Amino acid sequence: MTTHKVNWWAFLWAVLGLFYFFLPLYGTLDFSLRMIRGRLSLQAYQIVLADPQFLESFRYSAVMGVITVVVSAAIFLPTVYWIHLRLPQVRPAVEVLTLLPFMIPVIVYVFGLIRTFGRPPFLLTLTPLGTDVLIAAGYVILAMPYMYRALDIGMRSIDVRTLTEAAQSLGANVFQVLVNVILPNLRIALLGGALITFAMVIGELVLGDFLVRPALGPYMEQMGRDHAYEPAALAMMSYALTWVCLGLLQFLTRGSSSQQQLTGR
Amino acid sequence: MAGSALAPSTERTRALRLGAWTKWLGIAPFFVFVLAFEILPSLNLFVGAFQDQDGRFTLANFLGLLDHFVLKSYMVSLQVSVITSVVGGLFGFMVAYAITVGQAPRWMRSILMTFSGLAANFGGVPLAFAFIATLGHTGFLTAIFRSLCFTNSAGVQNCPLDLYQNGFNLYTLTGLTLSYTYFQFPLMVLIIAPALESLRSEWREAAENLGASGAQYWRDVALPVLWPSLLGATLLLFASAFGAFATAEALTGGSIPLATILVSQQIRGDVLGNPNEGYAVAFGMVVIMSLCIALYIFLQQRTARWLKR
Amino acid sequence: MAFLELSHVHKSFAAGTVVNDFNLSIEPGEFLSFLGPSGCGKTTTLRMIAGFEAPTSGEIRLEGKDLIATPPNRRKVGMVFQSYALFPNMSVTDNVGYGLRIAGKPKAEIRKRVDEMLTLIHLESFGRRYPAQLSGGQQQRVALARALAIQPQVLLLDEPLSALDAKIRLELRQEIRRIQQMLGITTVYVTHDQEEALSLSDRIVVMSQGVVEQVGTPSQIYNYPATEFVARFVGQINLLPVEVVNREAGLVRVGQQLVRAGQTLAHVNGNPVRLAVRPEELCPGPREGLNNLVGQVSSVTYLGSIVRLRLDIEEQPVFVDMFNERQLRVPVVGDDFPISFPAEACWLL
Repeated sequence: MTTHKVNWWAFLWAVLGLFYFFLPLYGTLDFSLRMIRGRLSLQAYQIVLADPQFLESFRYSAVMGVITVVVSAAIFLPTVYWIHLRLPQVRPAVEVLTLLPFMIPVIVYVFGLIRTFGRPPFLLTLTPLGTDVLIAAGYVILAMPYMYRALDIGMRSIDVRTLTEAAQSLGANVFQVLVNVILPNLRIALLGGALITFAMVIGELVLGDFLVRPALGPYMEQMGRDHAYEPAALAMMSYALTWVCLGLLQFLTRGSSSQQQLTGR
Repeated sequence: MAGSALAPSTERTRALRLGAWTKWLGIAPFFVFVLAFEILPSLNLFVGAFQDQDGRFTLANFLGLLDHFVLKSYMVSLQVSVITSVVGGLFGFMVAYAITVGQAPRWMRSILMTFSGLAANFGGVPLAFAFIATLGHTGFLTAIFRSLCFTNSAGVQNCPLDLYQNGFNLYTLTGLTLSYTYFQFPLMVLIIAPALESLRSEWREAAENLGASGAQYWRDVALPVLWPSLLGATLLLFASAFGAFATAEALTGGSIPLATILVSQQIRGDVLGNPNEGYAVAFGMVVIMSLCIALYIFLQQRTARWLKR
Repeated sequence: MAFLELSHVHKSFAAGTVVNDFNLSIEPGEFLSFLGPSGCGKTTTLRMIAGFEAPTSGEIRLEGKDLIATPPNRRKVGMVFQSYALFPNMSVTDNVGYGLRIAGKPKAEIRKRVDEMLTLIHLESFGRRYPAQLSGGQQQRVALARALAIQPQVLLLDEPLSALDAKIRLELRQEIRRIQQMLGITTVYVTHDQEEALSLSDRIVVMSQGVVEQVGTPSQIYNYPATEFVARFVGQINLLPVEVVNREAGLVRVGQQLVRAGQTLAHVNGNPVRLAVRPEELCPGPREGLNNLVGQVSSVTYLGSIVRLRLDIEEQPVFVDMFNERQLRVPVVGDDFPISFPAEACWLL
């Protein structure tokens, strides 16, 4: 291909792409600043930030996000490690399992959760605490494709076997190997998975709504029903948060296969 | 004598067998968790699809799927999914082409790749709000278009781009399609851009060298090599749209019949009059999406063969 | 007017000039190599002939016709790439016949030509296979057949053997030359491997940093290098700092020992003068009437068919290559070792 020819066709499509991305964002920003007729103001943002319900929902979802990250790391890290080290033959089956949340849409999933855990013998939905446990488990499952994949990719880039053998020859048991040797080397992969998981939990609607817990998603939806400008402000804030999380992720994983990190596939 | 000769070997076998078992212990937590919180609820649902109100095995629930109301939901879901996956897919392909093979300026490429990563995950409720703020009755773009008026020769004010006057409505299928495309085309960009980059430039040069034009190269080499990737990505887009719920509900409040909306209504209050039929609807959805994902995986592996560097 | 002519071809990128005032006339049926280290501009020049790069200035003419004005898919040049570049979605037959298919030839003719090509490269039964099922050497042969099938006026090869094992490289090298001579097709061959260039070419163009250092037959390049670069790049060379004794007679001095160079020193100015002589020209033992030098052996390296000695002459290293004959008495480190060579075997830089 000649090196100095400018491909106008390509340029056009790139510009169209940029437009499609930015117009709705700009429109939302503009709309969110017009709560007071005739001039730009941060009124909509102020109202939202002062709303105690907003603060409670945000706190709830943030805490849930952190819990989800910790629990999924605690479950998936040893799993990925074990598969790499001892049970490579299980990998295809496990990979299919991690893809299940893609095959079962969230609305169907919550349907199943309610049917199973909304009645004896596994009744969990009677108490707020029980429901919180259920919703946390649900979040972990929803985050599974991303978290597992992030850890798997990270694990592949370090020589697990040699590190383990070196640590064992120095007297470490399995737990110590995981925490002292493997974990520090997977910091970036773990952080990447954590960021995606956190962003996902913050924006999640269905589980929070149908299991009737005060998450940010249902709060936003309710806002959308009765208000005009506050939803736009909420959308901008939500977008900014996602942007920060995923921007951090991009920054941390620069150079590696970003596609897999971001799509989980 | 014989006993002592036997003892070491049985001990060793017992130790070995124990070792084999402990090997599986490492992934037990994972399996237990997934079993409890993914497989169990799902299976429970699917079993319910095959049962009647008294718990007996029946296929009658699936006949209920042919009911006009349910069928319409499926059809509309399929329609939206096909349209957005094809339109979003094509648009995404062109954008991906622009930033890889097409050699658009570097800065455009970085921005588009970064934002594709962001937008592909930016769905749900905020997306609906963003589009309402942009194309709703009093949206940003709507207002701009409405203000592009001029007075014609008869002295009458004419506003050709007044969207809502001309019949456009964000809260319809059209609006939903537009909103879905917002996360569909970035997903396509993310999946297809690496595949496009793996197209070796020597192939194009070799084709040119043998007399082929750009179009012939695409027809004979590039597209045949890419089509598994393209098809797989489109399937993924299809599944993504088919299972989407939050945006649809936040945007239309459930007024558009979609399979996901139907399931949500069924959960909230048995609109179908038969809970088992609701399970059947859910089961049908899962079958469709599983097929898509399975095909996608199969096609990805085919692509990997040819595009391995 | 030559068959393929490049006149004052320049190529600059933002980073700098890659090809500088390249001039060359290629005769029909000639096998010409571009030889040089990485980054010398040889591949860029080849790609300009193929049309994948456009010269910043200068002309390229094929049989008098301006080639630059012709788009790459209409020049009748065939190109073989370093990475073979076979189309992965097409079988061997389809790959080889692709150029003919684009040209709109009838199916029967395509089939016939493809069969001829496959026979030429000795892969007759491989027609149905796909590139992924072929070894590197086989892929390269198919790439060659594909380029030749369209009966191009010029054949271009861009380091076609560098990705292959040494043994395959040797076999294919001879194959390429055999086919080229059989078809009589004008060929330009880019390589950084001097053995390839020397053994295959009718003429070699030695390039360095975008500039042509020398154009000549393999023998000329090796035995009469025009510049220091060529002397160093092609084969091994000894460069010995010497003092001028007598300009007209071509006498120089190494320490206390006199050497007569096979040329006058008229062209040599005040810069430090060096005596250039190839290691294989230095014979062991003193001989009458020739230049004689003595040095101390500092290392002996056994290379199989060659024994390479490193001598210190007036504290300068000098390498001597001797054939490994059985009756050879290999010197030991520390020995004084006399060598001799004719005046014509050395020159001054």
